[in-house]
Amino acid sequence: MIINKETSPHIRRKDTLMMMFIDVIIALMPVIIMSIVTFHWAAVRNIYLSIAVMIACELLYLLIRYKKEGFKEHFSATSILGPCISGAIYGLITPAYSNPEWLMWFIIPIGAIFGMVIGKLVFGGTGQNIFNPAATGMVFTKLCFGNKFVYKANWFSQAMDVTTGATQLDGGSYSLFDLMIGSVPGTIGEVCKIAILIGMIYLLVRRAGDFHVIVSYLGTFIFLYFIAGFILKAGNVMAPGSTKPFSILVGKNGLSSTSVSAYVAQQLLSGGVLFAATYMVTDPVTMPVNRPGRILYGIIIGVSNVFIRLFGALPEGTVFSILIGNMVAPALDYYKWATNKYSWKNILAMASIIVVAALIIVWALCVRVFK
Amino acid sequence: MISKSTHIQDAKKLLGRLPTIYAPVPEYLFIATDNARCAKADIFVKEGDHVDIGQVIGMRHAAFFDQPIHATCSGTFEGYENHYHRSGKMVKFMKLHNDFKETKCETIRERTQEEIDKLTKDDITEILMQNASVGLGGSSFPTHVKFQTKEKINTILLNGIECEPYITADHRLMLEESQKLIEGIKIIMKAFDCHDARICVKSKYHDIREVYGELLKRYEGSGITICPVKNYYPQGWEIAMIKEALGVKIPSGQLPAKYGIIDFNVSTVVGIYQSVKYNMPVIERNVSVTGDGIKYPSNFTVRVGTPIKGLIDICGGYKNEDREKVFILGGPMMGASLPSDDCIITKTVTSVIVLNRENYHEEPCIRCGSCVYSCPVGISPVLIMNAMKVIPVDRERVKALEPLKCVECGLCTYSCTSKIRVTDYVRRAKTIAKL
Repeated sequence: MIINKETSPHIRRKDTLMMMFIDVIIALMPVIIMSIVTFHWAAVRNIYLSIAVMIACELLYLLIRYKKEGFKEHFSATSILGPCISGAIYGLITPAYSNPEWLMWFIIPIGAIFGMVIGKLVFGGTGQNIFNPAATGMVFTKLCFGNKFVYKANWFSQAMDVTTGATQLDGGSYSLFDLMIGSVPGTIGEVCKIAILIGMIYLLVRRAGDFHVIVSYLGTFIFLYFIAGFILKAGNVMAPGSTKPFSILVGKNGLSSTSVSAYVAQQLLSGGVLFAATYMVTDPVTMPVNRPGRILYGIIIGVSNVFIRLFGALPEGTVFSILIGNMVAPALDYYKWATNKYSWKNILAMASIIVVAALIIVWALCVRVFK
Repeated sequence: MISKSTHIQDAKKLLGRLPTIYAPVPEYLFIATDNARCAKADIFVKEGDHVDIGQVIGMRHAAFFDQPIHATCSGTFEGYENHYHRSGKMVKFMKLHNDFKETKCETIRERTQEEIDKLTKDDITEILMQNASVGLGGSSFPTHVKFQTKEKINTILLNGIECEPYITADHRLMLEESQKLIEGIKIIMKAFDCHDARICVKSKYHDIREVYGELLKRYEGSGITICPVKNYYPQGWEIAMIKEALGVKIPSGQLPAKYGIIDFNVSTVVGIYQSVKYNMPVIERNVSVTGDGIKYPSNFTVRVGTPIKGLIDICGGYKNEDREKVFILGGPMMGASLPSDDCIITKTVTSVIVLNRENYHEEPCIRCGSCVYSCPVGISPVLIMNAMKVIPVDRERVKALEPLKCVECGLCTYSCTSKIRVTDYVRRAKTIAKL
């Protein structure tokens, strides 16, 4: 019998990294299924092509970095599952169609390679990356091929007649029910909000996603949009700079068409906010490690997301705001102020960011709405 | 999983119900000449000399106190042998050949109740010093030093929490030696002139709470109460226990005595009782021999100096002999792992745990933050680890992350999703920050 010396502690928790990755994949399953149901082969192509490309990139990287000898040592199930998650997320945030149609076969691999190599592998692989690989790839493709994308609603519904419709944020108008089940134009993964919510609940129950970032991100988003909503309603315009009246907001099914909360709900349910909150903001590698840092991280992403949406040139800025948050994350972990305890200092930082953002929104919107 | 680890599966259900067995005294006993706190020792006996139980056979010297070494059996002294000490070091042990006559040294005599009542705090301190009473929960901190405090003590806490998994030595001691424990508490309360003593136990140990609930009715007005605390790990850590039991938050680096609180382990209290009542040093202690590598886990009352191999034979030997084992003295979270089973029960060994070794594949850190969430002192182990990986190490950066607060509870390694030994990095950071 061999007795081996080791350092304490001698027992470990049951869960492994592989289980955590599998949990994320399970949480992605409802979204993947709904995207295939909605967009058929286009979704299958986007998701599996990007997964295959990302896994190939990771394996190639391991081969180049560790050569043949070290490959076996550094290869594990997680080097398949990690890129699998990034690939699935990247596939889900791409639109189903492009113009011309065949271009999508090139856009997906280009974005996947860029996201994987520049977003993750140049930093040193799993656990070392600053940027979310899926968001990096998406930003790259959006900048390169943005005008080639075609957003189309493809799910049974009243919205079917809108063939190449504008998304909600581009000025299209859909009911909350349509936004919820996903019969609206959008990227393949983000349209069906019910599937995303199921995934979010699973992630939170299994603790594979951190609730601090989800709550602070969505909380900031909702709070700032309530402020924006009140001003827009007072000025009776739909968006800053536009002349559309606030009252047409909720579209054909018209709930309480002029309420501010309907406006906020619509903003929350359109675009990739929920998808990003569930699968991209919760990526542990690219967020700070401390509790106050994580809350700040969520707040920063929320604020930048609202700013891009309200004042930016883009209708939808979720992936950009995630990259901005990723950039701030190492600074939040800086040793001079990183702490795991809630002190008046970091609570003050959180509060001041939100208050300043709210004041900027009030000022800028008042100037633009009331002239 | 990104979550705080508080409840560790403790594997105590069976063992906590097994009565303590009196382990037979072996033919040869071994007494350590030096230990973790005392680096030097003088030996007063020569080879071939006869010794009695309780006889002072040497003196250990530490920085600020001396500690007598007592023989734990009657017989002859037969030279020195090297064995592993519980600290994991190879140490010179004195070999005593037991003659099984159990003759006691003349200093061992029973004090009557009147004599005990007359003893002042200084007398008790002197008695404890001569009997080399130390913290038996594993710290081996000399008890008489604790008694020398000048502060006014308002509350005495008795630590019976035993938050480490697997160990049940204190659990059984509290059930079986309850009378001695309460007498010991009364001696301490009288010495400190304090009227509030609380026995802290985990609230899930209903058997202890029931026994003491009944027993303490006989000591109405003595001021001794039972204080159930939460079940999480590391509740047995002094500062966590004080916070839970009394709501007093003690900043790291300060002694609880400053706040009018003093705490003892329950087995230390039984040791104090023996010292005061019989003038007898600790020659026996409770030890759990357990773990999934042991055939029949058991609780023992063991003579100090017994080789552990003999105890494992009584337990039926090892299970799954073909598998690699980890041999631990102390708890599985904080205890020391030894390279061999050739070691000796000393006063401060609370348990012998043999586990089947699991070979975990170490994955890259994904900064999930479980170690940060779990840390009971609120530092960030993962940031310390990353700071330690930078070559050369930036001392300012390591220092700013406060590794010196670490109590080495081991929760960061325990909770690591990627199976990295984070605690090792923090330990190294502690040595660097101390420079």
